[in-house]
Amino acid sequence: LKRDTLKPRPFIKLIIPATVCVILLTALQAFVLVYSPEEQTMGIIQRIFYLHVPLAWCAFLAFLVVFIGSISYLVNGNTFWDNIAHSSAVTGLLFNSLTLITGAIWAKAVWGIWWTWDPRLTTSLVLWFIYAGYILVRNFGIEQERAARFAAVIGISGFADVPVVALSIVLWRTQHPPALIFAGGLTPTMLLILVVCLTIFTLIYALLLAMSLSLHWMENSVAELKMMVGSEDEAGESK
Amino acid sequence: MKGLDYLLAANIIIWTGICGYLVYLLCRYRELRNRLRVLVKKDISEKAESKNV
Repeated sequence: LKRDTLKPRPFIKLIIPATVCVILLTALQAFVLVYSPEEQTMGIIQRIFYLHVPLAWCAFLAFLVVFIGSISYLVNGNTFWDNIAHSSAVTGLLFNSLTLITGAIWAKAVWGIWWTWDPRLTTSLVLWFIYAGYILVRNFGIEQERAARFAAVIGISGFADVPVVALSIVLWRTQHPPALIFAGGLTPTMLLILVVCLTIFTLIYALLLAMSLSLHWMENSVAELKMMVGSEDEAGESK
Repeated sequence: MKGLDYLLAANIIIWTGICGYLVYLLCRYRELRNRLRVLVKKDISEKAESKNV
């Protein structure tokens, strides 16, 4: 065995990006609470907008990365792309869950109900189920390579729901408000705050993806080493 | 509930969700790092044994 193979692969020390994530998130929330102007119709509850929209954007971005990673994996067969797709799917599901929850809170405050079977809400929930299915397939207990291929197919076909979610407010009559950003419905200050929030959430997504990816590399290193060393006592190793 | 309560609830849920995922990643990192250490130690002792033989 070469000494190089025994060392863990170069991965970022996770505690540093984790701390950066917590600082960014806390600063972002304080920024939204303190600096955002109060909207006339909805009042203070409108500030959820600066969190809800970037969360949805990050979920879409994550699922785009899953789509690209899945195609690349099926074309090249390189596990690097599969790891990217898997990591992004988990992160995307987290952001999608938070989008649904913040949306429900906003709906309760403004519409008086937590949930309605509105096209935008329903297609978003379908999106959540698609990527929950993607993760379930990964952990289904079947052979790893087969699971990766099945998941890649879900990652590609499931992405078809993303444009449906995005265009649902145009395609159907919906209770969900239209995209104010493109309609010029935001004041310059509101737009600036939204851009800041979008940037910070995208940065948080990138950090979470990098951290999850480095864990995949560590898992691969462990698997390689186990094969080389011929370790049998797996249960004792984690202690 | 007032608007501020809803806003704070949303903030707390986002913070809990993202920080919870970070904690999960850190725990997994610790577990994998320990596994790697054990495997490296095992390999070194095996090498030493084979040299002695």
